[in-house]
Amino acid sequence: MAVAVSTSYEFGYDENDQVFTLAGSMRPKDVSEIDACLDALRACARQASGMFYVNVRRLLQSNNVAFNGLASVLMQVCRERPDVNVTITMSSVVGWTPRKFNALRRKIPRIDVVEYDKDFYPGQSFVEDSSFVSVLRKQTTMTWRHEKHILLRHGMGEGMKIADICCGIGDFALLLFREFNPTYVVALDHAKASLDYARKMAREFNVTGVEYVYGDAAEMLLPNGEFDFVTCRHSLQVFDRPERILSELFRICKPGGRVYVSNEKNSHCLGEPRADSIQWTYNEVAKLWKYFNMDIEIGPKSRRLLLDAGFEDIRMESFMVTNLDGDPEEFADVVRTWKDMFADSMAKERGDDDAFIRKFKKGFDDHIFAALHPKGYAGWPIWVASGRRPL
Amino acid sequence: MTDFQMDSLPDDGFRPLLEFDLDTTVLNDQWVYCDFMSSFVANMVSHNRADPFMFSNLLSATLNELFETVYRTRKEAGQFRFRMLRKGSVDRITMVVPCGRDEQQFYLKTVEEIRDPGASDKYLELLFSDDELDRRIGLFELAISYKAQMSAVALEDKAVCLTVDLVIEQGAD
Repeated sequence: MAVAVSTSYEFGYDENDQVFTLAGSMRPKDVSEIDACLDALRACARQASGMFYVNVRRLLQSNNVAFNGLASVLMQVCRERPDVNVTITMSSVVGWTPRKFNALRRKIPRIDVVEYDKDFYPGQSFVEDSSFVSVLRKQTTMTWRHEKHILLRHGMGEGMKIADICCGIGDFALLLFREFNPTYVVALDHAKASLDYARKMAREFNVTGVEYVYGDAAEMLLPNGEFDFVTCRHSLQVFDRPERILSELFRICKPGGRVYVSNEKNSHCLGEPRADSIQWTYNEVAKLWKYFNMDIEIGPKSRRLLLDAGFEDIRMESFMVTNLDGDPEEFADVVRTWKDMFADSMAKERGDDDAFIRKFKKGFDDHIFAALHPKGYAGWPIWVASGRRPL
Repeated sequence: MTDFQMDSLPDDGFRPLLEFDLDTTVLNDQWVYCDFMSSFVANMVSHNRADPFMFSNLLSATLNELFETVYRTRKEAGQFRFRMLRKGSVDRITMVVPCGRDEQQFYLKTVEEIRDPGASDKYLELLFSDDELDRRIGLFELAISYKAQMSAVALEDKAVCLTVDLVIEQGAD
């Protein structure tokens, strides 16, 4: 297992957002060893007005000496500045932080503590719902038929060290493991229900070479430059700031290694017969996702996103999953799960009226009709892109 | 020099995972070894847990507090012995710390104190103290925050054997 081990720490202050950030590992013998940091924290808090943030999302370790020093400064700030409130943002991925900082909150109620990753992703409640597992599984079955060939054109080979970020239920990582014989696969996700499922499947198939870890794709604890090949599928589209995920994918990729992403442009889903109704519904899907600050239309934008993130040698292509690939019922099942999630969960949460939801659902029903029609055709387009991290 | 053999300690069906000895004169000069040892041990024994990263992060935090406690209490020359064992979801840490009578009393008394009804309040008092940090903080933290089961046994007048049972990940195999 590769774990970032750091015996040093860093700190910085963003005046604009009034965020003091601490990262690394703080285990001093004596509190005087971290005086520079504590002095800076004190000075920044004294300058702040209103809300002062302390970001410990990447503070991987702190001993009691350091924690006591940090807590003393924050308690002092609260005493001296009744007009300033302190919010500590931590990540649930860094296990030690909730234990200590929640104790601090109980002691000083003016210090608020929030788990950053709980509210970060706009569609998190949808994509981390355990019912989403069935959507992911069926989708992977259908896309793998194409991707196992496409991956070779994007630099995938045997014996690689692979990270599958936003792995969902982990089935893609298992398929990679079987097909490409990697030396090591780390599969990371933020949905505990999905990870439980992934571990269960790995046990069932007696696969021990895939390590499933809980983590936040925007603040990963994986080390720099570790992986030959990094995959992130159907996930940039669920984040409102995909560039942050891409910068993390870039960071963990080895220089010369490649990052591979796949995404959709849902408004390009199609079907015959009943093309107009289908088209209308998928245009509405795009608007619905936009309402929740997610971009289900991101697929064709992947090239630009990879270039902006610093990658080179961008390779990009698209493929169409269709009802003719395998059993048309599989395709219909995927659309049924979309219908449940988009119409019954998301549209209702947006507050759409019954008439809209009826029309919205009809497009999905027509897509299913097209998929199962003896002369019909139904498609779901996917864009894949990969880029090389410069040497 | 103390030379208590780990093999002579009862294991209650626990499976040994990792064991090492360290001359206390080496540890005396190197505070940073607490960090190195806790990170190393945590990484070595976390790979087959359900969530290796989370497990390793928490185990490293707990081990570091134990090693720092040893660092701050060792006075005698001798072999510091560390052993980690596992039974299901329980990880057992056994440490033999060379020390004189005063230091033995520190461990025996602190282990008694953490069983007091007011131990939680005491832990918070130590954690947020304005004074120099009390060296009992590590053992209190393990007992209160991590709900570790602890025992301490004096080995003649030369050492103390501290045993810590930790459950970091519920339901681990």
